[in-house]
Amino acid sequence: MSNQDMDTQLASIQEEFKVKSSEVKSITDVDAINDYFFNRKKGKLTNVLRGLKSIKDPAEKKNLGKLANETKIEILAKLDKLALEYKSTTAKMSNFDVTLPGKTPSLGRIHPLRQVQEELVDIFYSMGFSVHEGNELENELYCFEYLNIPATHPARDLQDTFYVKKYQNSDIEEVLRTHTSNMQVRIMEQQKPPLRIVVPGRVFRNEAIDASHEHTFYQMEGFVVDEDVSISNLTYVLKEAMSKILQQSVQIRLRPGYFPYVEPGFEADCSCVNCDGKGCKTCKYTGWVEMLGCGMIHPKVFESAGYEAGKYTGFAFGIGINRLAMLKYGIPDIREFMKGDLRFLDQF
Amino acid sequence: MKLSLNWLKEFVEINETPERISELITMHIAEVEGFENQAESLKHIVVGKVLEAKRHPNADNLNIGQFDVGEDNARQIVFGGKAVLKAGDMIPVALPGAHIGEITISERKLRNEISQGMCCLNSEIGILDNEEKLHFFDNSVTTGTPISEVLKLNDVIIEIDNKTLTHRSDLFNHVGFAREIAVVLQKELNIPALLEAEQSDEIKFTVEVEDPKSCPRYMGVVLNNIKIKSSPDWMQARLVSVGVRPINNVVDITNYVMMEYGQPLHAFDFDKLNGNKIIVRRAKKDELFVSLDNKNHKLDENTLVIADDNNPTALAGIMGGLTSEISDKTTTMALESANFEPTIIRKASSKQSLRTEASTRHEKGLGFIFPELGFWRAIELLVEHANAKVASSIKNVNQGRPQKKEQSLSLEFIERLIGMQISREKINEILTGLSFEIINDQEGVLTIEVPDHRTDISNEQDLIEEIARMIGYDAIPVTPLLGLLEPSIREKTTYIGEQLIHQLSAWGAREVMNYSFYGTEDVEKLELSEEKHIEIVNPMNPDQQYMRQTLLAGLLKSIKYNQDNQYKNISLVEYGHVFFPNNEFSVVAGVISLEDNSVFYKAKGLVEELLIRHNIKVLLKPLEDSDERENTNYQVFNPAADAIYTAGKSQIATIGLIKQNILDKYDISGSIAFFTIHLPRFVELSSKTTKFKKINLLPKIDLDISIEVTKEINWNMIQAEIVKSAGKYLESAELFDVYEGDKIDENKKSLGIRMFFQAKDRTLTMNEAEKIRTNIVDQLSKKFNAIHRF
Ligand SMILES: [Zn+2]
Repeated sequence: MSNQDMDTQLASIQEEFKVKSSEVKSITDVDAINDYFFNRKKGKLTNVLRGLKSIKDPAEKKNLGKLANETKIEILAKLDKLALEYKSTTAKMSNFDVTLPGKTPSLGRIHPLRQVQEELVDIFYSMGFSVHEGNELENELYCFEYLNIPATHPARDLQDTFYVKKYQNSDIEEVLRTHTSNMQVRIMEQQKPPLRIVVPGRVFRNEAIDASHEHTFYQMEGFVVDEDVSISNLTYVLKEAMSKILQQSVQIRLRPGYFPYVEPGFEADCSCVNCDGKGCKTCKYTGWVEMLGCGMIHPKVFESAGYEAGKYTGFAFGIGINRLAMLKYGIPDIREFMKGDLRFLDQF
Repeated sequence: MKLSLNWLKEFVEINETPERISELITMHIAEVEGFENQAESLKHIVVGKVLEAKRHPNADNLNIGQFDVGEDNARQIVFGGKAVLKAGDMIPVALPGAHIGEITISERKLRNEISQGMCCLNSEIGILDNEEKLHFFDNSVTTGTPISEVLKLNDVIIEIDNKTLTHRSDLFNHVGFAREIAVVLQKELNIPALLEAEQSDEIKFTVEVEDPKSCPRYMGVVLNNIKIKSSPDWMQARLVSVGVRPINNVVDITNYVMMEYGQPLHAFDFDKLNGNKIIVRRAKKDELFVSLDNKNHKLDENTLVIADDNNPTALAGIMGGLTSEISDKTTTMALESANFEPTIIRKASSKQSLRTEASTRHEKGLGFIFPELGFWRAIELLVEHANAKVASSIKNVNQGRPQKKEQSLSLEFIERLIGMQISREKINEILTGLSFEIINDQEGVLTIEVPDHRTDISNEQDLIEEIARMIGYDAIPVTPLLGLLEPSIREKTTYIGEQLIHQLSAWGAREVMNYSFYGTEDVEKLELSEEKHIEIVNPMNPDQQYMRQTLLAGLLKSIKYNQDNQYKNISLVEYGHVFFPNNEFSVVAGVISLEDNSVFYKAKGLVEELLIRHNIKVLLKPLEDSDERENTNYQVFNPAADAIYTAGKSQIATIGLIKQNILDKYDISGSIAFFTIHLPRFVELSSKTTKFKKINLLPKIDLDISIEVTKEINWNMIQAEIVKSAGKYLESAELFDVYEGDKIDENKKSLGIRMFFQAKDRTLTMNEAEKIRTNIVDQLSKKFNAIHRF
């Protein structure tokens, strides 16, 4: 048998196998194919393999040997699969234990705060809101002054805000932003209304940490500015967004609240999803769960941004991402988020 | 702040249930945290009469008594040694079912003796003075009567969250809330008119305000003939119910008036003052002062004091002094009712760590009218309940009544901001009800005169809030937001940073979030320089003193934390900001841990895959050779295994093995590879536009070679030589195996390389490919002394 013949033969064996395997109807057919190619005396592939011995040239022998072997492995693997499909009762196949544990792929984890934040961002992005993050180190003008929080306001006290030592010649103090509202005036200065913006990001408060307080947490500020934006639009946006996040239709209830950069200011409650507003332990039997602070943008803020007085109206709201994540996943202790503990992170 | 419903009812008719009125207050005025129904909380606590009392046979500090609680049979009750009881005493007894704090009383055995109730101290059930003592009822009281009935404790106490009152200095009192409730309920407000007292010239008295800016108004008078005693029961009960401890009639009256009208008052023992003068002045530097609560304070010029001829005798608006305190022997007093500048009060109160009911009110800024309301009401009560007589002229030092604020209000703007139309009648009703006056109405614009007590009103939107909240926010319809439909955008660095985190996590990394700070300890461990860091003025603790310039410190601590919990071979990534003077930017960084140094290649593969996915072409250089290594934290890396990815002049990423001594300092086992990606640069270079390349459908030939070279020949050099000597038909050359070990020379390594050959226009023959291979092998052996093995 010449080398050329052998090549051709292997090719025809592959062809022949394709035809035969496509006609298999039962396990008997599978066994017959097995016998046809691999019978120890007259099997077609057995014969070819036997012929290898007679090749003299070592390089040629290696090449053809490799090819023949690959053909054999390929056909055997396919026969195994066929046997499995036709529920072979042969000993080898019945040992296939489908109840053994699957091999878990090594997928990582996204931090639960990011998961909640992304969910929020996706909802607002879909409603036409642009997304900005901004800097965490901010000067006190954008963090406070421009937002109608003058130097005399209690929020400016050292016990609430982290201040940084001056590293440059400037009268303006720099602070770690206490809210992502720092971006309100920055964005208003760069863009003209209509504005629909959300600002998710890290914020800081200088307060002792315990199960419900962290000095580092995540917040999402949102604001809308246009010529005729009203309280009734605010309720609409919150109702739509909260319904999406909580995956059911909810009611929003506004009541008086106080934040210096909005007027009027509101606390927004969301109808309790646990009891459908009928009253339960989660909502302290009121049917409402406190959700976020919001309000109509204060004229002083527009003034800071250089907007013409009375031309625009707008609303702003701030969502605590940690709080939402705790509510959503039932996490009792806010300190878990920043611990880096895989026993925690791997749960999400 | 606590509100007594009975007290409110003196000024406005309220028929609503406690639940309903609480809800209305929450919805229209300020958040109600909860309410306490006194009769409810004192349920099952009745008047009991001691029939006999004896020592408990099995316990030295317990007694056993038989009590008549108005039932057929007497009850046996075990009580503590604190109560000295004798037959005939009438005291509060809690029967089974009563709630004392968290405990529900039930019948039980105490040291083998049955106890069918409990004797209650005032402090245990929050009645009267709230002290740890027993109240004895008059013998005329029928046994078994609920004590709430006997003590007339039928009030409902509503707790308001002060946070929602931040801007409303006028609401820290009952009259203020009553005014708002009257509007909510659409009822009359009945505030009794206050009579101005007649003055006298019996005692000479002067008031001198040195700093009128800090004290815009000071009213004072001397009263004599005072008889100090307990204040009337009803007054004590009211004070206790709103959380104030009764002391004596004079002090109780000042507190009562503060809770009623919102004006803090102070009473000085006039005989203890040096001279006849009250001076309002700044404290001198290091001046000493002992406050009522017997604490020493060192003052400075930023603190306002009330002084006599020699010494400070009160911290203005915060607390009185010990020396002029009203005592049992007081017969003559000076009464103070004043306005102080809010900031000076807040700063002094925070500096001296003294927060009082008075400072809470003053630091919010009380309107000009408050001092006179409190003043006249207090004199009225002092005359009635402390036998007082006005003995001096009445001082009223001020710069004149400030002009009333006027604010215009456009009807069109009301509708625009609220999103619904509101009738003129309703607007009138609400504003007038809240004591605003409509002084002009022209072409849809109202001119509103703001009442003196509303210091918070300064613009149109403030007035619209009044209208909207009184109508009720729940009455405002929900209207879809309309506007120009424009494509929204996402800040690119954040967005791509998040993408990278997702890509890394798909590959197996876990995302952590660490603090943005670290301390001296980390700076030292990582061999960073403290001076270059931005420092926090007021850190939580020294471990959080510096703003981070690398995410490495936090990531290493996370590795350590999890290694301690038996996690091995983990990969952690983080998105975060780093801070340099005038330069804050975001990075994505990661640490990968493995047993050995091969972890470097894992990190490298990962970073390169991210670069490829985002179409960024980079150059890899060992960090050692890089001229820009100053800007990297190169010192954390093992100098033999670090590298930097650059594109043009831009450093995009660094990777490397963390030095062993740093790992030792963090007590981390195994090897750690660290990478950090500069996001703004990454984003700048990343491009989404991929150019399609025609797919070559012609057959490809793959051929392997296996070569042995000395260890200093690196893969980059070999690959470059293969590309050079292969010519145009080489499609790619991949390293699939590296072997170093026993089977070859110790200074050598063996590399397995697979090459793919392909022509663009025809089928390449095996012969051609083999020729190219031979040439490659020849060149490799010429250049690097490579030995080719089959
Ligand atoms: Zn509920």
